[in-house]
Amino acid sequence: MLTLSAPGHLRYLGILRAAVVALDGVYAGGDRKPAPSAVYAWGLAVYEAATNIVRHAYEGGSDELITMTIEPAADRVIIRLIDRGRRNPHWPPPDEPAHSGEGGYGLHIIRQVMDEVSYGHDCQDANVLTMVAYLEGAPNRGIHECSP
Amino acid sequence: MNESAIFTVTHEGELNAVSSPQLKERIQGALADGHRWLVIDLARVPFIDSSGLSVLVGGLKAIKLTGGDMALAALQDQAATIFSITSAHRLFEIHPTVAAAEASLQARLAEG
Repeated sequence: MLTLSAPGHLRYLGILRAAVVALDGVYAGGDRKPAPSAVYAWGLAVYEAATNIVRHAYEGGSDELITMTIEPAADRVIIRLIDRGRRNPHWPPPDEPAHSGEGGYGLHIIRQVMDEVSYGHDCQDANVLTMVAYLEGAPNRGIHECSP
Repeated sequence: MNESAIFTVTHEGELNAVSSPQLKERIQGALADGHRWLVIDLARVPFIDSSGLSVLVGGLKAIKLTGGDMALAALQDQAATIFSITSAHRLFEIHPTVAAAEASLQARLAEG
């Protein structure tokens, strides 16, 4: 498992996204290699999730950390984002983006990109967003969103 | 005079939660200067997040209220990901080059 922590400010979130995009190299040469477009989309989903943490859980920014864990398995990748801010008031995400020009796309994007998404707390009362993406051809691919 | 001119706004680098306020400011500035026909050049934008998309959608809505329009140009394949995920590609006129976008808006301007 890979673990990376970054301060809860927008300017650090590209580092989290870059780590996810680098999974392309982790899967290189494996039996199931995700398409570059899929890995890019995972990075987008993580960026959106981390932005939500900064804006809502950390109310615009905080020196508190966002910790990301990545478990790259043979058939799936499991990504968790952990924070110690306010609980996300925008959960569960809406089904469709509003195209209002005022935001609201983030959680929709996460749900569209990832196969399973759940949100809850760990035993230390930190917020935990868990996102699972199955690799193309994996038996469980296509199962969507589990309960928070 | 600006009302009959096509104005191109170029953004370079990621269009994300950090940088999108700069593009928003430039679009609003163009509108304040009387421009009603905008091309957004995205040739050097490798990544667009929901903040960037919101600025583009907001800019499109604002410019349509003036009777003008906004076209996107040179949207890169990876940056286009967010448009397909959100179906936002249906909202915009998207052209492969700035020249094509400008020509399209110019043709509509000429039609009156």
